[in-house]
Amino acid sequence: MTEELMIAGCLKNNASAQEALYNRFSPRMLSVCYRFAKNREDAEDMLQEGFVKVYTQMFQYRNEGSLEGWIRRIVVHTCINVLKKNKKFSDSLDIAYANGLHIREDMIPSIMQAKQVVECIRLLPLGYRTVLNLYAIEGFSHKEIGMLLDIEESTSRSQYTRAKAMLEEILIRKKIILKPKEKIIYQAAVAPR
Amino acid sequence: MEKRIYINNFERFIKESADDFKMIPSKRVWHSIYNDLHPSRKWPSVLMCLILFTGVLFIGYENTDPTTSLLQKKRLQKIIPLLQV
Repeated sequence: MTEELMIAGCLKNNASAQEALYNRFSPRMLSVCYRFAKNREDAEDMLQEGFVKVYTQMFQYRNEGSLEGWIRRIVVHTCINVLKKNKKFSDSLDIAYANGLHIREDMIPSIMQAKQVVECIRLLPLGYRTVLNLYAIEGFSHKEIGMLLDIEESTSRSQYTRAKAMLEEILIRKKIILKPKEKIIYQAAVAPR
Repeated sequence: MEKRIYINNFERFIKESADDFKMIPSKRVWHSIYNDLHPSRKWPSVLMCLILFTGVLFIGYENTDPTTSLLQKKRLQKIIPLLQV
């Protein structure tokens, strides 16, 4: 089914068009939710809430930019709204919060690279992880992140700097990236032929 | 097999790795979304419950007091004239 047909069907509340849209985009959107959520169950709840919003707000889609990008934006905002309802989240945005945290070697999973990197991101403290997800992966600016999370732009910047340093350390320890002398070399796995 | 790629952009590496990662949601998610978007009509189930409830009440009534039972009264009315003869 083409995107145009899916959109037209969703606007008519057609179940098969809605299912086709869900089947096409849910695997990628679940991985987005998973990066923000505490566990898989929470990620699935975020995904469900996000997709219901996608269908109910479909009339607002103007065919400007990709459909996937539009869906992703709704899903990311849903994740942030869910996180903001949690008191622990606002505490985690305090810069001092994660200073004493240490990542143990046994906490780092050993799996395929894409999942490995995502799992390493998930080892970061909640506030760090959220800012890193929004800035490095979702492409939000620090100003936008500040508005989204109700924090100062400078707080977002410092959270990101610390998150990046912590993630680099984890990735180096896991040998996903190498850091010889000054230059960082990223190591990527390719599928066996 | 591993291949080393030399990139000096941390954000790009993280974004590409994260974008490569996909997860298959459980069937529960789609069922919940479907139920949210297409809530089932309630009146057929309410009607069925009413019919069932009335049926149970009627059967109960018929089987508890033989003197007030409609069926018993009809049977007695048939029997009494025969006895009088």
